[in-house]
Order: sequence, then C-alpha cells, then structure tokens
Amino acid sequence: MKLYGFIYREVSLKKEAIGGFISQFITPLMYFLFFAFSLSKTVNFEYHGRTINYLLYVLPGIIAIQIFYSYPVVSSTTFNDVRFGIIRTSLLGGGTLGGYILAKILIESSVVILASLFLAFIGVLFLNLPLSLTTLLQFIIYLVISTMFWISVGIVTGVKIRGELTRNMIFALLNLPIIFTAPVFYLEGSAPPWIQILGKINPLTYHVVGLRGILLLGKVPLTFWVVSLVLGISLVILSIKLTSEVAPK
Amino acid sequence: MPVLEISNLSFSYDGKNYALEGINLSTDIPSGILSVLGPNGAGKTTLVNILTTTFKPQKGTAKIFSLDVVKDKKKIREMISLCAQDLELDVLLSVRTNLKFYGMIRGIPKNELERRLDDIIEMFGLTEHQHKRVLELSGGLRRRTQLARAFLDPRTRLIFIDEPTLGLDPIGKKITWDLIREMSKEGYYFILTTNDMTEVESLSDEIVFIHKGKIILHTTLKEFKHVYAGKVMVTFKKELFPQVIEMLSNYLRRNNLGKIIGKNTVELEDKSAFYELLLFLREIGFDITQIVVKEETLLDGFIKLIGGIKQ
Repeated sequence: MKLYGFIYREVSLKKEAIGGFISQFITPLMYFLFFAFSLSKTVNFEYHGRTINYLLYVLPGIIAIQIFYSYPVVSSTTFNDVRFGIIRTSLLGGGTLGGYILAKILIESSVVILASLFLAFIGVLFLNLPLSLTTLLQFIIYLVISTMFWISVGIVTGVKIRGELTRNMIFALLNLPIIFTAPVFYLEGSAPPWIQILGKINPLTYHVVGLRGILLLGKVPLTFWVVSLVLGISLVILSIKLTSEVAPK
Repeated sequence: MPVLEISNLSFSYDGKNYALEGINLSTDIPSGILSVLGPNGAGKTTLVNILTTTFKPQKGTAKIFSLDVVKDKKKIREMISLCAQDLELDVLLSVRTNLKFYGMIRGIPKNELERRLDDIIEMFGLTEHQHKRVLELSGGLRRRTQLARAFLDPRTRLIFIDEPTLGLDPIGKKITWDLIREMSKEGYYFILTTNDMTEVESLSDEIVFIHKGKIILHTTLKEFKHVYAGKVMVTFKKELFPQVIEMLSNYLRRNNLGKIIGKNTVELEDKSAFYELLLFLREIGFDITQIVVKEETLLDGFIKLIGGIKQ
C-alpha cells in the first residue's frame, strides 16, 4: 500500500503534467523526423560491414535520447520534492526512501519503455527494423537498466543542486554536449578525436551503442551489459545515499 | 502518562554551538494545546524536529506518550502529524489526491481511506475545493488542506503545527483557531510553535519559552500574564509635585498596589489596582484627564522575559 501510494502520486503527477508527458514522446520523434530525416538524404552509412539506412542507424540513438530526457524531468520533480518537503512528509508519514525512489524508477521507466516501443515499432513498420522476440526482450531489459541510470542521475542532481539557477545552467550547458558527444547522429569512431574522448566518458555513448547493437545486430558485447548495469546500480545506490541526507534521520 | 517528557536534551548542528542545551520538560498538556515560544533562532524548530523524529538527539532523551523518539520512532510517527511552515503539499495535485497519497503512505486500508477522506474533507470545509489543484487555492485553504491531512490517520493523537496562521488574513486565522480549538476538545493534543501573541492568547493555556537553546520558562498563560504582562503603567502628562508623589507612594505601598517610577509614572500590579488608584486620585482632587494608561501586553512580557529587544 505504501509503495502503491508513491506510485499513485507519480501517476497523478504525470496526469497533471500531461504536456511534459507528451513532449517526452514528441521531442525524440521530432529529432527523428526533422533532423535525421533531412540528413538521411545526404548521408550513407556502413555499419559493421553492411550499408544501412541512415534513419535506421539513428533510431536507437533517438531512443537513447528519449531515455536521457528522463533525467531533467526527474531532476526537476526531485528538486521540488526536497524544496516543498514532500520527501520529509512522506517519510515521517510512514513511507520509505526505497519506495519513493522505486516509484520514480517504475513510473518513469514505464513512460520511457512505452515511448521507446512506439519508436521501435515505427522502425519495424517503416524502416524494416528486424525485431525478434529475443531482441525485444533484450531491448526492454537494456531500456530498464539505462533508464534506471538516468533517473538516478535526475534524483542525484535534484537532491544535491539546490539553486534553481545553477540547475538550469547545468541543464543548458551539459545537455547538448551529452547528446552530441554520443554517436547518435554520426558513425561510431568517425568524430574528431577530442569528441571521441568526451564520448568515451559520456554514459549516453554506452547506451546508444548498446541499444544500436541490440536493435540492429541482435546482440551487444557483454562489456556493454556489464558497464551499463554497473553504472545503473551504482547510481541507484548513490541516489538512495544522497536522498537519505535530506530524509528524517 | 505525560504527553511529553524531555530530559537533558541537547543538539548541536556544528558540534560547537548548541541549538538546544540541557532541555528538561514534562507535561501532560491538560488543556490539549501547548505553545512553544521564542525569538528566531531560539531552538524551537530544532526541538520540534527532534520530537517529530526528524533529527536524532545527540544527548538526553525525549519521549512522547512514554515512547522514546529514537527507539520507538516508528510507533511515534504513527501517532503524530506535522504541519510545517512550508506547506509540504504537491501543488500540482488536487486537494483530494494530496490527501489520498498521504493516507496511502500512512497505510490506511483502502476502504477506510475513502470513507475517512470524505469525512475529513467535509469536516474541514473542503468539499467544494477537493478537486482543485492546491496551486489554485488561497493561502487559507492551503493551510486548511494541510491541517486536514494531519487528521486523516485515525491513529494520530498529537499534532505539531509550526506558525499555524502565518500569512493568513483575520478570517483565515479565526477559522484555523476555531478548528484547532474544536479538535483539541475532541481529544487531540497540539504543540504549536509561534511568535504570534494573539494566537497564543487565543489558543493556549500552557506555554514554554525557549531562548538561546534553553527553556527559560514553562508556565500557564494566566501565570505568565500575572508575572510578566499583567502590569498597568499610568503616566501623568505633567511631573507630579513632591507632596503628591509622597502621598501617592504611601498609598500604593500601604495597599500593595504598585510603585512610582520617576516623577510621573506609576506601575500598578494589575488592572484592579487601576480603579483603586482612580478613586484615590479623585479623593485628593487630581484631574484624571491628565493621565495616560497602558496595559502590558503578552508581547511586552515576552520582550521583558528575553531581556529586551536587542536580544
């Protein structure tokens, strides 16, 4: 009942902020339709030895961006939860920190999975994306792991960065470099060395490459699973640790 | 069984300066409402944070209904509610959704929760506002929603309210005070932290003063008024002649009514002494239109207690 309470709240908030919810679907689709679609007419790609439709190549990256966008959403709601004392009231009222974080992960990752499946089915319908049952299963598990990471980043930044201005500046300064140093729109390994170095320390890179491997090749090296899982779990632990600092002792 | 038992309680944020130092207090809050007063930074909020199990005490113990705030934290949390100064409500959600979420977190069974929601919403006059977002409500209605939430769980017995009517208009204040009074008659206990003396006078029979991390006074409102705020100052517009001062001084001393301060002021022990003084002044033919009377307020008493405004 208590976890259900947090879930009820997250779902109610999503219903109230329906605009934000829709934009979580629409924004990546816009990237896909306007940006990638235009480029697809001028760029040809060879990926792992086969020529590939540019739109199909970009699609997993767009899905990764969609996952990434859960971070500012969660960061903002967590920031408000700390500011307005919602965490304190809920925990004093009998809720648990684990319940609070789990509800956020469950609802936000459900939204992301729904939106990602929507994009994947567009790929199946219009771009001949080969999506077997095994691939679909791998895809969903990888989505959950990577969403868990970005949601936790959202919780960590929402708890730790207490100035609204600082938070907005960080969003403005980091969001685009994070998106563009990950090989979403260009061929992996084709960017200038300095971008590649930044890309290596960018977690989104691993999510883009991982999702692309699963969707286009049907598999992804074990290293990617391990890195993504370790990153995801570490961040969840960190988010619990930091949130406990603002919780009643 | 005392509602509140605090023994040698201390707390420091930085390990050097004490926000609370060696606090002792025991009360069964007979009137149902206890007010905790003190200037800003006195330690009121720290005390409430410890009693509501938000902070752990570093020294000493605190018990609520004989339950220890550290060892029996879970049980205490079931019996208390906190209305902080910040609303602690989801402003984007409706009144009912906010209350329902809290009820779920409190672990109120589903069927009971729906019934309880209907009752509480009606009791607090929120029926027509229940589906509005908190964002759309006035300050008074938001505060009422927060109070309603505090009563949602039937296990709640003690409610902490920080500055109950801060920022409310006079009507909002009256409604809130009436609600608190009414609920205290129903058997709920309240601990209020406030600096609003009108509020204290209107609600509390028992008061605790905290200053510089220590309880400097625990008394009844009646006693406090008598000792710190019951005096009446009578100022004569002109300086009194030495003969009049002597006559008046003798009269006041003989009847234990008060004393003369300077050359034109009389400090009377209470209001009743004022009528005695008037009779005396008329007897000696003094023009009573030439005096200014000022009764000490609770605020005067409060300032006197903490040693002046510069404190």
